Amino acid sequence: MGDRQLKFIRWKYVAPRIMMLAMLAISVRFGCDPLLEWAIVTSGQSATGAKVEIAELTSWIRAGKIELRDLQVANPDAVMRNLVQADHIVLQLDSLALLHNRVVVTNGAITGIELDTERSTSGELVVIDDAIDDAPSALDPLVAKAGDLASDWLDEASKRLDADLVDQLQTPQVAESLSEKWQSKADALRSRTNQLKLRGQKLAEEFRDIKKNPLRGVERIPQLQAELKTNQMELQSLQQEIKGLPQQAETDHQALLAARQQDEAFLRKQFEFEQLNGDNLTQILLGQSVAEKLQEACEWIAWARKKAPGNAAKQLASQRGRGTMVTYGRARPQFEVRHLGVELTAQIAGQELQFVGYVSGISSAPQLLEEPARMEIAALGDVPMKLLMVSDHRGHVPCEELHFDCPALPMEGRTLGSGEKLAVDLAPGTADLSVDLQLVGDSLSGQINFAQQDFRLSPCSNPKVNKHLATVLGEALGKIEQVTAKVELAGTLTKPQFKINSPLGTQLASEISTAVAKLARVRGETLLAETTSKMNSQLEKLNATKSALQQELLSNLGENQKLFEDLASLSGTNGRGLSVPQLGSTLGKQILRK
Amino acid sequence: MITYLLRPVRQFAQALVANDSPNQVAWGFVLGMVIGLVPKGNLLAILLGMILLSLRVNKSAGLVGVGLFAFVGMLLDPLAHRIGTLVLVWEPLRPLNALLYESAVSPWLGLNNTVVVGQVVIALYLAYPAFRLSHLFAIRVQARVSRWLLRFRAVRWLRGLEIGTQWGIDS
Repeated sequence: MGDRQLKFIRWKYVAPRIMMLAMLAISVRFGCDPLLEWAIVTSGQSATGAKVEIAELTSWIRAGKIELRDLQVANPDAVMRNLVQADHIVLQLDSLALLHNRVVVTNGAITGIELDTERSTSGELVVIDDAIDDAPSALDPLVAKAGDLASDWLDEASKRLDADLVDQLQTPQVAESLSEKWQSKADALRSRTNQLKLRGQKLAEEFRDIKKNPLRGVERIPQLQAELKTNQMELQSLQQEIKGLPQQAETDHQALLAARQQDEAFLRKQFEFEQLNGDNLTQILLGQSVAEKLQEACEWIAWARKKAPGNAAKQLASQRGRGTMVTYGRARPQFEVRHLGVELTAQIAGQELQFVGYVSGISSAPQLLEEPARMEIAALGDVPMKLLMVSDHRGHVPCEELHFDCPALPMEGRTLGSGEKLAVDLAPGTADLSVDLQLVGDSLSGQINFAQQDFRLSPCSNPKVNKHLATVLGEALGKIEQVTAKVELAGTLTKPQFKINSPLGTQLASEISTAVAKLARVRGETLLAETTSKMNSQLEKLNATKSALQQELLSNLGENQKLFEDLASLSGTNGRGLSVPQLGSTLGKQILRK
Repeated sequence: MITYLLRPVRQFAQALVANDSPNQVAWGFVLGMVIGLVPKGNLLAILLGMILLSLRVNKSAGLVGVGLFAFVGMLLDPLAHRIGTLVLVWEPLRPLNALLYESAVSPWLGLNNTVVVGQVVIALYLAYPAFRLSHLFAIRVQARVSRWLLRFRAVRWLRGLEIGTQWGIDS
């Protein structure tokens, strides 16, 4: 009976097909795991551009469950490091959705996530499509400009403090020229005095000769008389000049005082500094780290957006063919992660912190979901830390939000600013950090609030900076014990902008400016004191030289004066000239007795 | 090897001169008609094809039906789309359609496609008339055609070859 009922079936055709189906089912069962592993590795490598490795993958088709162990995703920028690794991943898939060609992770858990870990083998792929972009970020010029302005101020201050200003001072130069002038004057007067003395002695000699033979020397008498008169005039002139030496010394003293006043004015101008701009200092100290982090965040968002699914209209259009597909219920995305628990370990400021959280609403067609994609992570243990990221691509304009809050964030010691310019070492501590960032379309907005109480700054050693200035900087930085900063974010995803509002720069600028001004004042006063001391010493020397010269010359001239007075008395003060008898009687006295 | 190469020709000759009953010819034709009408990019078309090949019906009649109604089906697409739309959005049938859709039966079989459903409806509508007509054709025409074809030596040789192959005699 049974045979008759099934006689209408061509068993010769059906039996081989049933066997083929059975073999296909067996192949699917045993080939599913390698196939899935290949699919995950291939898609992961295509997304990251670096190696993706899975130690073990097990799947349960009927239950719709996949389990992965030891997943490693290499860092494309550092081949011997992992971008992320996870010990254990369990994904519960919706089996019915799989029959609809959709992958829906209804629930799952990723445990043992670690970021930026070391690899034993290189994670570089053989084929690298994209060249590494080493171009400077959009924020670099802004930070560099502010840094240049602040460091130029310090360079200028250092240069001015280092400059050898003694050469440019008037007082030493005037004192030197006066010293030379007095020396040459003294030499000239001495020479003239000596010459006068010699001429006087010669005249006396000639008079002596005439005395021996008055008749033969009578014709020489008028000439001698004229020479005597000339020497008397020279004597008077010398006496006048010697009398004028104190007045000359007083004039020179006044010239020295005037030079000193000029030097005072010069030094005052030389050590007059403008107030250091606090905003520029804030930029140089905090700008670089803010710029780096902001640029990094923007790059991550841009990368995520690039990887996000394309326009939904294209997908709907691709489904159209002969007839129209009628769907019942809401349209659902081809790929969807409804809820995925995450547990990760990360190193922050040398501390290993545990985080737990979840990811939800990730899909290939966000516009079909009621809720945006969301990731919420909180730290376990003593450090309270919360991170919430919301990515809403359901509308025409994609929106991203990031909220981070940590009242006691461990901060590593680091160097702020540029080592070649102005840089300071920041000691480790804890900070209160909150970040609110919104990205609507391409427009970026938000703010970052930062406060660190136990703030310790010290200047980096830089051989170019004047050592006194370095000391002053150290003292100024030591006075700053806390820092608060509010960073306003603006601009676009490709060209982010920020403005840092922080009293740190202003406070530091004020401290540095005051300290530098004080240093300059001390330096100026020291220079002036040295100059004044030199000037006083020069004046004393000048007075001594003057007195000694005056005494010496007057003493010499005194002898000459007596000689000339005697000779003058011979030459006749009555205006009749010198007569031979008179000469003879006179010469018998003192002058000609040699 | 030659047997393998000549297999389609052998089967065609066998189909024409086979001693199939009119019912087998009619069923073959009806199944072929349904396959021809239904768009091919779904599991329903494959299943129908497998049914045609798995059942002891006249394959040549089925192939004729497929060839004939594949063209007719394309001409009937607009009508099929309208009929399919009516069926798929008809409120009394909505729970059943939704159930079939959710359980992934209709997406795999293409039964959520307006043209597929419309063509199935048209095929069901035409099934009985097609059966009756093809049955009548088989009774009146097939015997004559068979006799006429067997007059040709080539056909006889092919038929003998087919029988020999079925008995395991390979040339």
